[in-house]
Amino acid sequence: MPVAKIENLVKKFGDAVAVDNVSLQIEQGEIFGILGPNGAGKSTIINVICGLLSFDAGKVEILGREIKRDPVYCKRNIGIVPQDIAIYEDLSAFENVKFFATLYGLRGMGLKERVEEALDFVGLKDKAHSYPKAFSGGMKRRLNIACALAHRPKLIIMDEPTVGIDPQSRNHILRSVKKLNELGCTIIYTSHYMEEVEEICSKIAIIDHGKVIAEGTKDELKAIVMNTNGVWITVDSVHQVSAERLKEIKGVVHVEIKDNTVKITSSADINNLDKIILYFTGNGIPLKNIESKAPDLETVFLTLTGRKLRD
Amino acid sequence: MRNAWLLAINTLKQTARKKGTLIILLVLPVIGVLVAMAAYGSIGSSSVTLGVVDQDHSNVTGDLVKSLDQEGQFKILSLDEQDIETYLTAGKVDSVLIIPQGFAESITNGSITNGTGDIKENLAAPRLVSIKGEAATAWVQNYTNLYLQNLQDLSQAAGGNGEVFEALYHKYQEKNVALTVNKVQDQTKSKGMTTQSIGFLIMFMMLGAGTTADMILKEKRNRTYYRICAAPVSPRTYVLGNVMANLFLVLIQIILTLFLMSKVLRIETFVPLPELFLILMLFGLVAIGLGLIIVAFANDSVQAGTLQTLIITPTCMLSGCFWPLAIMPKSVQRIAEFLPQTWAIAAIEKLQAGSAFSQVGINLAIILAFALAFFLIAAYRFGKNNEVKTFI
Repeated sequence: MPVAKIENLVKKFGDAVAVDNVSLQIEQGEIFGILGPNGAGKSTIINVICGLLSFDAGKVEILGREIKRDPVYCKRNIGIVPQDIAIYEDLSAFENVKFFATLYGLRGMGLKERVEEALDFVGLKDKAHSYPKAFSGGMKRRLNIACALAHRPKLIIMDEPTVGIDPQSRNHILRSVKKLNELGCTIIYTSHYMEEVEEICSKIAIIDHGKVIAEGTKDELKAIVMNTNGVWITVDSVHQVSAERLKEIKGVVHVEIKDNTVKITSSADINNLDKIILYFTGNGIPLKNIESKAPDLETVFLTLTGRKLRD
Repeated sequence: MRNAWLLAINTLKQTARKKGTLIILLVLPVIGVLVAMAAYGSIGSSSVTLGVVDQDHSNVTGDLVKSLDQEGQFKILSLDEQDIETYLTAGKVDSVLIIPQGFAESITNGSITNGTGDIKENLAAPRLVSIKGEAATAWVQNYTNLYLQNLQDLSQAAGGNGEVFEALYHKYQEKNVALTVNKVQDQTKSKGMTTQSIGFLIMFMMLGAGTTADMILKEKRNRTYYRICAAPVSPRTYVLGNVMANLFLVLIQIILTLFLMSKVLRIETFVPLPELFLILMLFGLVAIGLGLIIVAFANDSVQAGTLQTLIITPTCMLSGCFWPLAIMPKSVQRIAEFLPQTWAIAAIEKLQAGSAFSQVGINLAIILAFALAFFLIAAYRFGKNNEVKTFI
C-alpha cells in the first residue's frame, strides 16, 4: 500500500490552474523529491496532501484512506515541516514541540519522552528551555523540524526546509532527512535546489506550471537527457561572448553565461567541440579551462522546460 | 474538544507572558474604576473652613461659635485678629467671622435691632471677611443671621433688661428641643460611579477581547496557524479555543473589577452582584464576538488595531459608557439603541432603579442577540477564508 497516492489532482484558484491533473504515488521508505521552480505548484500539492486546501478534482489517499473522508486519520499520520518557520517565539523550544505534539493526542510521560527525543534528533536538546528569539536561523529551522517529528508520523513532508540557512545547518538538515528515512519514515521533500534533491531523494517528480513533466529515479530522469553533452568553458572575461552566436553553432541547444564560465549544452550525436573552440579563439577570447560535464537534474529540467530551475 | 482546550491554554500562556496585553486586560479596568471614583468623588457636599476671631469672649459668643461648630457644615478654626490676612491668603480658611468686643452687651441691651438681618450695619455686630466672595460667606452669613435673629427676639422680649435677658437666654440654651438629623443617602453618586465604572469595564472588555482575538492574526502571521491546521484541528476548533481563552480572560476581568468595586473600594452598586456578573458575562460574549469579527475582516494586526479603535471608542461614547446617555441629543440616543453597550448599561440602571431582574430580560435577550449575530458573521467570514491560501 502506498503511503500517499494522488490521482488526477486538479486545484484551481479562480481561473488559474495551480495543479493540473497531477498523479503521484509515494511508496513506503522513499524519499520522494518534488522539484520545480517557484510557483510550479509544489506547495499547493503539499497543502492538499496535508488537508489544508480543498481541491477541485481527483483523489488523495494517505495510507489507503481518502483525505476528504478521513482527514483526522490522515493528518495524524503526517508531520509537516512548513516552508516558513512556524514556531512560537514566546514559548521555549521544549514548549513549542510539546504544544504541537499534544495536538496529535500525545500526553503524560510519553509526551515528555517524545519531545526530548525530537529535540535530541535535531540537536537542540541542550537548548530545550531556551527561547527561539535567541536562536540562529538554522536553529529555528531545526526546531521547525522537531515540531513535526514528536508524534512519530509515518509520512513527513518537508517543504523547502533549507531556504535561507547557512551551509552547516543545511548539511545538518540533509543528514537528518537521511537518518529519518533510515529509521523507516517516508519523506516528501520539495525544493528548487536541484543538488539537494539529487543528493537525498530516491525518486523525483519534476513539476512545472502545475504539471508533472517527468517522474522517476535520478538515473531514469538523467536517461532522458543522455542524448546531450555539456561543456563548461572558463574565460578571463565573458564580455565578448555572445550566447546567440554560440547557439548558431550546429548541435548547441542551450548556452548559459555565469561569472566567467560559459555552459554549453549540445546534442550528443553532433560533435561540435572544435567549432565551439574556434568561436572563442576566432574572436580573440583566451580560454582558461574546458570541462566536459555529465547531465544532471538541472540539465533535465532545462531540456524539458527550456528554462532553468531558478529562473 | 481536548484540542480546543489545549489551544485555549496555549493562548492564555502566551497572553500571560505579554506585559502589554496583561495591562490592557487586568490593569486598565482597575484604573477605569479609580477614574470613575475620582470623577464622582469630586461631586457632592464639602465643608467650609471658617476662621473665628472672638474679641468679646462672652458666654453668648462662645455659644454662637459652638452652635456653628455643631451645624456640621463648617470646620471652625479659632484665630487671632493679626492672623486673618495670613490664613485667608494662604487659603487655610474660606472666610473669617469677626465677633467684636461688646457684641454680647449689644445683644442684651437690644442695640442690634435692625430687622433686615444685615448684621454689618451695627458696629457691634459680627463681620465676615473673605477673599472668595459670596460663595464662601453666604452660608455662614445666613446661619449667623438666623442665630442673631433669635437673640434679638429674646432681647426684645426682655425689653432691654439684662437680668430678664439672662434668664430668657439660659432657658433658650437649655431648651430640650432635640434635633434629630436623618441623612438620606445620596444614591445618585454611588449609582453614577457604578455605571461609569461598568462603562470603563465594558470598554476594556472590548479592547481585551480584541487583543486576544488578534492572537489569531498573529498566529497566521507567524505561520503557527498553518501548523495547527495541519494537525487534526479544524478551523472551527481553533476559533473555539480562542473563544474559550477569551471567555476566561473576560471572566477574570469581571471578577477582578467587581471585587475591587464591592470589597476594596466599597462602592454600593445597588445591583446584586450575581445579576451584575451575569449581565457583564453576557456582554463579554458580545465583546468576544466583535473581536472575532474585526479579526475576520482585518488582514493584519495594524488594520485590526485601527478597526478596534474606530469601533470601540466611539460606540462606548455614544452608548453612555463614559457619561449618562440622557445628556446626549435625542438623535444620538436613537443611534445608541443600535449599540450593545447601551443595553448592558440600561439593564444595570434599571436594576439600580429597583426593577426586578425579570424586567431586564429584554435587555439580556438583545445583548445575547448581538453576541449571536457577531458570532455568526465571524463564523461566516472565517468559513470563507479558512483555506490556507489566504494566509500563505
